[in-house]
Amino acid sequence: MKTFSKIAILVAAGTLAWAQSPPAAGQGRLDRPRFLGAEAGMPRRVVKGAPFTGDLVTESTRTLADGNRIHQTSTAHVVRDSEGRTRREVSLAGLGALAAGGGAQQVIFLNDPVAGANYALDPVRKVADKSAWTGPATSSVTVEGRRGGRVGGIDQSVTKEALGSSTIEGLRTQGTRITVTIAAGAIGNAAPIQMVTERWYSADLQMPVLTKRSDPRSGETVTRLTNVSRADPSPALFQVPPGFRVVDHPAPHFRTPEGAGIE
Amino acid sequence: MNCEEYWNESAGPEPEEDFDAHLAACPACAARYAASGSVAPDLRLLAAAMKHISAPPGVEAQLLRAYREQYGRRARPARDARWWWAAAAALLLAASALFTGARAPHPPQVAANSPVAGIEEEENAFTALPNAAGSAQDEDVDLVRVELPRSAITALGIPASDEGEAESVEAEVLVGPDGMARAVRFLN
Repeated sequence: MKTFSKIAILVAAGTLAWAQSPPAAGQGRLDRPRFLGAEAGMPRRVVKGAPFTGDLVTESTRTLADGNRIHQTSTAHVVRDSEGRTRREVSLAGLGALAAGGGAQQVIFLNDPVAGANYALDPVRKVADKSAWTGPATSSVTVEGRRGGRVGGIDQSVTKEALGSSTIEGLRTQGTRITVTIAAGAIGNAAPIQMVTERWYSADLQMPVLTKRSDPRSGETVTRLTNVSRADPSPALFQVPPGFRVVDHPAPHFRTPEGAGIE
Repeated sequence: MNCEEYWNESAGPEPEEDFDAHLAACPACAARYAASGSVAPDLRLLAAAMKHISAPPGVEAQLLRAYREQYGRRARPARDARWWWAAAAALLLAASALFTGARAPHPPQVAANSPVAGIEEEENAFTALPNAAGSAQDEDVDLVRVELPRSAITALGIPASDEGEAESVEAEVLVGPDGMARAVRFLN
């Protein structure tokens, strides 16, 4: 009987401990996605002397072949100080189908080139996953085909045109439109496929304020920076909040991939 | 030699000069070679050198049989009290693993050197999502790890096998600065 009681206590303790941490994937039935953790990636560059606070709002619409439409929106609160530290507060809702029904979880990513650290903050579990600062990620791959010709064996042309200047969110921006055309028949397409990216870039913030992308295969996406304030934000925003447990990961778990989009 | 042949680890024993020549002529492969920390090409050479070595006959069949047996046992419903003892033992093991820190906070490290556009085809590379199309080349990305119902895979438009008892899968998602998912890879 004594032995049975000991086993029962151990099982209860094990159950309690198990309940405090998510089980490994594949165990049990999930009715919606569950957040397991996060890691801040290395920024490709550090921008100093251009502090701001704002909201990056993205709307994405995809029309399917049967006329159905998939519409997604996401808002990320972004902050940068004059030293180049950055903070991004994102909701898992932006993961779309990967977070359907479980999008309330927030994750905060911090890049601190001054302290030399990156953090992913989980406000629910109060955990800060710290990853090493390995220097700004560089993009060594240049997207081919800007001048047209064959890219990856695909016949396509690229045109770039200036759209002049415009004031957006109180910021002076320069517009550029890049049109990539995949020739008819290049990938089995009956007619040419055009991908258009329109970007309005603020030299003051050194980032786009408005970006519109359209691709008949993936739909239309509009990303807009709103609620912009150019005041230097509080340094506290770039620190791990009190009460958070810092988990140190000396080596980054993932490397910032080389971009292959349209610049 | 084309790009596919260059990165094909099971390719024939081409002269090393051919690889060097391709690397010199192809900026994309040169960039990927640099990004890979030279590991992949060395692995390719190692694979080529070990091409003549093969596992003893029957090993594959034995492994498959063991896998099926294990798979079948776990999928069978419990019929007697032994299941409860097994569950208790599993809980104890899990609890001890937690207390001793044996449960790693991260899965094994796998270099993610796949461009967001998914132009690489290496095993366990990230798969670009429609939202990634046309994203800026210089945008920053972060990583979020989630556990998903298998139904979420289907919702992405990715075929999910009906086989298997696992009701959920673990995935790593690359997230753009706007919080939208750019690419995903499944870990189990």
